[in-house]
Amino acid sequence: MKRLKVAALLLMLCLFSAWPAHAAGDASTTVSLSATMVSALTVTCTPSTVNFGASVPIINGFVVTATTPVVCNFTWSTPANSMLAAYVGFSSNIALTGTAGTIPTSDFAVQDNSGAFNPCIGNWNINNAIPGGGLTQGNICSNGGQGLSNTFEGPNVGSSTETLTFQFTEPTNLTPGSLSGSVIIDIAYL
Amino acid sequence: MKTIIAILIFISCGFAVEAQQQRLPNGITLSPAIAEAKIKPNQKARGSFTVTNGTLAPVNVIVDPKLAVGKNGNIEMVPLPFNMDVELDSTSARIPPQQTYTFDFTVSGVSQPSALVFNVKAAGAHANYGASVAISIPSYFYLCDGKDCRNKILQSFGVRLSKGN
Repeated sequence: MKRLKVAALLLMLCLFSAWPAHAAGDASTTVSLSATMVSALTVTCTPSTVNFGASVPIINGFVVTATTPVVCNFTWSTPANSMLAAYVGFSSNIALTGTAGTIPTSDFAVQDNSGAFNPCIGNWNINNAIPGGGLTQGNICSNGGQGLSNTFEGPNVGSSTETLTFQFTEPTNLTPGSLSGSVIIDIAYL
Repeated sequence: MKTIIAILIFISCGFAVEAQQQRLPNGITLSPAIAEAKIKPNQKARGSFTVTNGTLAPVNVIVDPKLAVGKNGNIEMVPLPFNMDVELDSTSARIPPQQTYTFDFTVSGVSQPSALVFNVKAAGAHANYGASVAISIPSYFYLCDGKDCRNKILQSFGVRLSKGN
């Protein structure tokens, strides 16, 4: 009888010692992440391309402005102590390239609303939230690294509209042909 | 004669479609933009974020997972460390107009408080003489085993956040 009790006790010990193997904290168990913050961000830019017209004169130093501006609407709902900024720029120092030649970011500029045209040779502010969408330092089209003029730093729920006008100055080696690239609108926050 | 007219109609329609596509907007809604969640060291957890295409044209999105790290207020986006494993069910999607796509993921190997970032990029339409307008928005998941996760991680980065800012 005593042996039976010991055996039962050992069996119970085995069962209970096996139980925590599936408890939270073990890599073999997958739990659901329970996010505790409600936040969302919407960005819409119209149109989705910047066009410079099919036929422009090829003259060294000629300034070519996009046929229409791009209007971007931003709507956000984030934690109260968020920092948000929007940057426009390129992933490398080449803004446009194709059979016509190459337009470096130093010859490409963006006007935000009614401000001045800023060449795309800027940096983002290192102490601010950083963009992660492929923009690289030295190729940001803004002045002082603060992002677009209507900076989002402020209320945690809001919206902003930016009208972006793009232009480039023709370099010496341009020939008739195609030119294309990708402008990145990158939202940065923490 | 009929053939020439048909070809002309086909060509003019083709240009019209291209012009219409280039006038269409590029836009997405990302949720959550910022989230914090509890995860125990070496625990495997699943999560998700959604991308909504609120426009009237399909949107192509690609997702790039990174880790945000910081010191003395300087933030960097770095590749995921070898000990952290993030599995996305998909790293790209073509989202139809007015539709929402859910990206599911699992994460494991989080040994310390971490800021996991999914950079979501929506590509614009191609232009022969111009530039596409791409949009990039990050989805932050602040992960740690405790309360006030985001604030603690940002403090460790040397970032000072003030209320209402």
